[in-house]
Amino acid sequence: MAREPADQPLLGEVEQLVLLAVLRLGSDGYAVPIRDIIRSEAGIELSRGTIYVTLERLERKGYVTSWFSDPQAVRGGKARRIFRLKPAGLAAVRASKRAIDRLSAGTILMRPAKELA
Amino acid sequence: MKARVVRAALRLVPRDWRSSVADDVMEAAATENRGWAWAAWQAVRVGARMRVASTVDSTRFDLEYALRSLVRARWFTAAATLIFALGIGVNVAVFTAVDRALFRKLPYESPEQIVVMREVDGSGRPLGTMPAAIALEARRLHRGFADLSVSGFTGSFSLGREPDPGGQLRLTAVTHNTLELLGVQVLRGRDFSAADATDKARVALISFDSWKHRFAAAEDVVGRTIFDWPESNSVEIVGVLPEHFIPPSSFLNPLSDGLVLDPDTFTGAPPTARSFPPYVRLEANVSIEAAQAELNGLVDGIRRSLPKPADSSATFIQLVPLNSVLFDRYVDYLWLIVVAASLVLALACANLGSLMLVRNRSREHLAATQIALGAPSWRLVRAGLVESLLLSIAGTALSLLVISWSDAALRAVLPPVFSRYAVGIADGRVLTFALLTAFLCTLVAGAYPSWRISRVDLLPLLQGSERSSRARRVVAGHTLLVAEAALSIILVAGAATTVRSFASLSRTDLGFGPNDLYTVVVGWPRGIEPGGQFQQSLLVVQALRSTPGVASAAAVDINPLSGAIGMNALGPGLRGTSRWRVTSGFFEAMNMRLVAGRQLSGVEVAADAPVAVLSESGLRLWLGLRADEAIGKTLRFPGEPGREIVGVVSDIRSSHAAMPIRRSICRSALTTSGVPSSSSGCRRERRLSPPTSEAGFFRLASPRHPSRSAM
Repeated sequence: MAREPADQPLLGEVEQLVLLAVLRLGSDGYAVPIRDIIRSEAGIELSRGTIYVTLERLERKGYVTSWFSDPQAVRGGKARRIFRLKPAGLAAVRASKRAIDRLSAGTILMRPAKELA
Repeated sequence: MKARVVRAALRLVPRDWRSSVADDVMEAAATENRGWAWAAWQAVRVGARMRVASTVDSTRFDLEYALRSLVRARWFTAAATLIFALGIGVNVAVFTAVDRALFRKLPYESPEQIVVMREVDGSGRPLGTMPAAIALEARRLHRGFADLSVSGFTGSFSLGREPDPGGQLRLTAVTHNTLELLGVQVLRGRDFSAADATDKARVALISFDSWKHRFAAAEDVVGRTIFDWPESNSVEIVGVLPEHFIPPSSFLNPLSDGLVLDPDTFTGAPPTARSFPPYVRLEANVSIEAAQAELNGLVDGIRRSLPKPADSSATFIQLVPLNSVLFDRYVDYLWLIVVAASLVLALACANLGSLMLVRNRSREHLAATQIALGAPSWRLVRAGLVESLLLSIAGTALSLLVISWSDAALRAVLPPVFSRYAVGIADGRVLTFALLTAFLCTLVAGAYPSWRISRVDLLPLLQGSERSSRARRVVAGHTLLVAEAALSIILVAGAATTVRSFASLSRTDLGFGPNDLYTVVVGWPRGIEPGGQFQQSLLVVQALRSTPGVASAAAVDINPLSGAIGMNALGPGLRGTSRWRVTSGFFEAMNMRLVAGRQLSGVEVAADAPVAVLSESGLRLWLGLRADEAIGKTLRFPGEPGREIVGVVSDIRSSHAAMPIRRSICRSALTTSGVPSSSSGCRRERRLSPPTSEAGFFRLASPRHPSRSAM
């Protein structure tokens, strides 16, 4: 299979996790659920600081965008900073996934877990 | 109160993120049923993490930006790097040479407790030796002395019985307790012991450099034998001294390659003997002043118990810190060099500042745009400083590279007293100094241009007009130019003064012609009688005279150019005077100016006739006559027959042109038993004192170097 040139800067491991979490959460993507979903789905505990630093970097790189939501419909409810993937972020995640898939092709990673066991 | 603490903690978080983090933290605290303290702690952690990440990111961005910018402006980068390399390189090179003398502690244990005991005359001038009995008695009786040790002559040793083509080892004779007193451990082998001294063992410790270069760092160096010169007695190497060891002495001796045991100083010195100034380790709680006070009382008592000296002029025994004795005479010169090097650095920084100001002119539009888009001033300042830092680091690296390449050449041009103890650039202190200098340069050269560009006048720049900002730029440029000019004037004036001093020094009348003049040092084994030495000297002189290309040759008992002139004083009470015993043709070989009369003839020398030649200053001191009037007069010194003055010659200066001229008299070289030899002194009977030596001088007829075979 012919390889595409690596025109996309490589994502870090944490960046991949955060981008995927934002993708999964859709319009509910703010820091607390992002951290929760990474913990629950990937089993990886990231500190709050790491989540914020990564979100800031991704926003600076143009992979995500953020805005403040309307105040919550509760007494004293605050506006939340919501994140959403930009097309560049989506492309970066795709490129990362493609790279992993290509590297894994033909290895035992591609076999069903039962066989591996 | 609780809310205030949480708000204070949240101030660590960048403003853009503060409300989001506050909400998330408070929500998490509520969900997990945590208190305000936990929320505050979480806010601190998030804030610190974000601050660090932000700083790292922005610094990396600034570095990348500065690198790209410097690569684009490659001529500016090359010039700036060279200027930094010059300024920093000069200072690092000077630091390697002066660090040992000016800033570093001596490599001994508690060096501040080590002092030198020396004798000074009434005017405070230190004498080369002191009564050995005072040193020994003070060692025994002084309650503030932990121990006392003595360094003596530095003698020559060869690796084999035959002359060594690699040059001789120069080992300094010391008492057995020297290393113990200094608190220094040998690198290999063992230290001298009291048993060695009792057994009169012939043992030596060689320096680290000698072990490395002369013995190729041989593992089996301990136990090897070397031979003293010229007697060829064997001496066993028992150990290797640590690297950077400085042999203690009453003066800095850069030519010593190690230590050899002197077993006699503490045992065999007669009451009238004189020894080199000993060094003393004071007890931990004893100050120099207290030790001096006790010593003064002791010395009076010791002097009363000694035979009355022939020279009754008043002298005093003084305790001086060892560091002062070793380095004080060089400190003024070294500081002068340090100041000159600092001026070079300041000039380099001013030059760099000017260059950066000029360069920033072309970047003002960019800076104005960045400021207009919201870039804070401090970011622009920091970007400028990062660029300056990169340049100074590049300059430092280049200078260190050049210094490491030219290390051998630099050491060759330095006097031995500095080159021997100069530290390499791999030394931690040198590298730290280089880095600190680089940071200093960054601040000095980069701060003002960086600050200036962060204060650009936006409106005229963005509108395409530069009128309003020009005035400020001109003032700033003028200030830097004035600073540069002032520094340049100081440097040029300093250089001119140095050149003038050097020219004046080179015009100094030395009293002899140094061109094409060569010295041959001749050593005699102790068994040869003075008369036999003279006959041997004549043979050497004859051999030299018959060598093709040699115009004239002569011999003298002590080389007048070596600085060892204190050893041949004319007698008691005549300090500052000298006597040289010469062969015929001495004045001709030295190309000394004959002021009146004639030279000593070969017949007079051979017969040890009662004749002498005076120097001009000797003439003024002893006769107070005109030169022509002095011819035929008779001079008589204590213990000598009267001598008829047959000639007057020019004064000569010895190893140091700035040294005072010695009032001198020259007589024939034959030493008879009836004439006291001031060169023998107290050390004549010591086994390890150097053999008596003579210096032969010869002058080449044509300016060429004599071949080894001709010697």
